[in-house]
Amino acid sequence: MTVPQKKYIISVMAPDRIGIIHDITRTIADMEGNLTDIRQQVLQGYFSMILYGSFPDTVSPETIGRQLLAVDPDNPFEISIKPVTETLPAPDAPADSYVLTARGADRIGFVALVSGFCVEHDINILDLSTTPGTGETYTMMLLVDLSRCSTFEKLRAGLKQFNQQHDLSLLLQHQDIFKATNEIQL
Amino acid sequence: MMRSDQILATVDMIQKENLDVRAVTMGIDLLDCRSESPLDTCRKIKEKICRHAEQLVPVCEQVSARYGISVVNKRIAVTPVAYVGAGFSTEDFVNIARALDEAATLVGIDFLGGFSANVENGTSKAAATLMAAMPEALAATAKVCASINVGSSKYGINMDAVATMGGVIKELAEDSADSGGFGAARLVVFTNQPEANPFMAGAIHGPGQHEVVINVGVSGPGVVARALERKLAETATTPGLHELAEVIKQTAFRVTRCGELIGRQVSTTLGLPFGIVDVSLAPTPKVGDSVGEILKIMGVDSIGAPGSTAIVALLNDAVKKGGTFASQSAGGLSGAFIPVCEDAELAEAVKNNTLPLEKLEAMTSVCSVGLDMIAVPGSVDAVTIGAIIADEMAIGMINHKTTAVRLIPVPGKEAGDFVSFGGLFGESSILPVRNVGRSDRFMGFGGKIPAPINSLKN
Repeated sequence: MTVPQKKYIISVMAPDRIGIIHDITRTIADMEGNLTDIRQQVLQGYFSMILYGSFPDTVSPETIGRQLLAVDPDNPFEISIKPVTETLPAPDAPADSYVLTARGADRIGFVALVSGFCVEHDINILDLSTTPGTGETYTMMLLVDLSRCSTFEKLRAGLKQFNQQHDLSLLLQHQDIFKATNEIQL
Repeated sequence: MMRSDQILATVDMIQKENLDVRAVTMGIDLLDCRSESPLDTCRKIKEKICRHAEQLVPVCEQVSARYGISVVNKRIAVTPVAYVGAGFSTEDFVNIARALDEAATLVGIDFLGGFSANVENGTSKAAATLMAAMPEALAATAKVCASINVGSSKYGINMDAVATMGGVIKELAEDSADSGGFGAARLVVFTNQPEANPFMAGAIHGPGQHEVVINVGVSGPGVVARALERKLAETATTPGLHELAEVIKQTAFRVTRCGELIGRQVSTTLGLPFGIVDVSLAPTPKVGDSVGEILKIMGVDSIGAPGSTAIVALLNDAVKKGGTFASQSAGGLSGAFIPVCEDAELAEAVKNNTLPLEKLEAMTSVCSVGLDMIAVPGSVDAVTIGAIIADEMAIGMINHKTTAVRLIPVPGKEAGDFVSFGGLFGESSILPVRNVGRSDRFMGFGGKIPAPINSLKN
C-alpha cells in the first residue's frame, strides 16, 4: 500500500561550502522525501536552494526543519518550509521569449526602475540576472515574456523614451538571436 | 538562461559593431509574363512583381522589429530580361525596364536587379538588343540594375561582348554626368555570375530557381574588425595568423546565423521557399564598417602594401568557412567585398595613392567579387575600359571563381579629383589608370578567349 504523501516547497540558505547539496539531499532522502524539482544558485558566496518534493504524511514540517537544522549545528541553515496545498498554475511557456538587456551607470533603484518599466508594459519577467560591469556600469539581463503586451510598436517606442529619460540602454531582442549566434544546433 | 557574456557579446555586435542584414532579396521568375505584345508583357511583369512583393517591405520591417536586427535593403531580382523580352525591339526593352522600375517603386523596395543577359559563349539577338537598350533603360529608371555575364570557366570569354560593355559603361557614365556618372554604378559585368545572389547591382533570378524565393545577404565587417581587435588586446603574445583566421571564422558564423534566422522568418511569413544566404563582408562608407580596416588590423600600415593580397585571401577563405558551417544553404558571392567607394578605408588608400588599380586587381583574384565601385578618370576611353574588364574576367575564368567589374568613368574628372555618390554608394578620389589607349590592338581582335583547360594545373 502506498503511503499518503504531502508536498512541500523548502528553501535553504547558508554560506557556500563543499558537500552542502549532498548534506541537504541525503537528509531529505533519509526521511523518504522524493524531490521533484530543484533550483540552486550561489550569490556573493551564499548558497541558496529551493526544492519541491513530497514526504510521507507521517513526516511533519517541524521534523523536516529539525533534521535539516541538525545537519550543521555550527552554521545552521536558514530554512523556510511551505506545505503545498493547491497547485498554482505554472506560467505558460511562451512561444516567443525575448531577452531584455539593461546597461547604465550604477545607481540605487536600477533594478526597480527596469522592473517598473516591465510592469508598466505588461512584461512578465521569467528569469533575471545581473552582472556588475567594469567601473560604474551595471548590467541586467532579463528573459521576458511579451505575450501580454499590447503591441510591439508601442513597446519599442516606450523603450526608446525610457532610454532617453533615464540615460539607460535597454535593448530588446528575440531569444532566437542569441541561440542562433551561440549554439551550433538551431 | 543563456550565459551573460554570450548575450552581451551578441548585443554589442548589433548595437555597436554594425551587424545588420544587408539585403533581403526576393527572386521572382518572370518567364510566364511573356506575351505576344510588348505592352501586355510589361503589364504582366508589373502585376506579377506587385502581387508577390506587395508584403516584402512590411514583412521585413516587422521581422526586423521583432528580432531587433535591422534589414538595411529590401530588393528584388528577376529573370534576366533578355529571356523575357527576346524578339522585342530596343524600345520595348526600355519599356520593360520602365515597368520594372514602376513595380519596384510601388512595392517600396530599394533596387531591382535583372536587366541582364548571358553572353559568355555568344551574343543572341535578344542579348544584343538588351545591351543596346541598356543606356536608355538605365537613364529612364531609378531602381533598375543591370548585369551582363560575359565569361565563364566553361565557355571562355566573349571578347566582342566585353568591347560592347566598355562602350555601354562609358555611355552610362556620360548620360549621368550630373551625378558623377552614377548610372554606371548600376551595371556590373561578370564572369561566372551566380544565378541566385541577393547583392546589387548583380542580382538576378537565374534559370533553375524557384518560382519565387527569398535570398539574404548578410554583412558585418565591423563585427569582424572588433573581434580581431579584442583578440589582439587580450592575448599577451602576438597571435599567429591561424588564430586570427579562427576569430574571423567564428565571427562569420555568428553573422551568418543572424542572416539565416531573419531570412527564414521572412520567407516563412511570406509563405515562400528560402533560397540562399550570401555570406559576405560588404562594407558601407560608415566608419567602423570597413573591410579595409580589417586589412590594417591584420598588419599592413597602408592598404595596398605587400601582404594585402595575402590578407584578403585569408579573410575571404575564413569568412566562407564560418559562413558555410552556419548556414544550411550558403550561396551567391559569399566572401569579402572590396568596393572602393563604399569603403571609407579603401577610399582613403586610393586618396593616399597606396592602392593602385593593379594591386586592386591582384586582390580581386582572391576576394569574393572583383573591381567594384571604382571611380576612374572620365577621359579613359571605352576600349581601355573593355581591356580592364578583359583582365578581370580572365582572373575569374582561369580560377573558376566569380569576378566582376563595376567601374565609373567619372565625366570631366581626372585622377586625384574627388567624387561623391552619397548614401551607401560612398565617395572616393578618382583612381589613376595607367597605359590608357595602349590596348587597342588587343581589343581589336574581338572573338573569344577559349575556355581554360581543367588539367595540368600550375
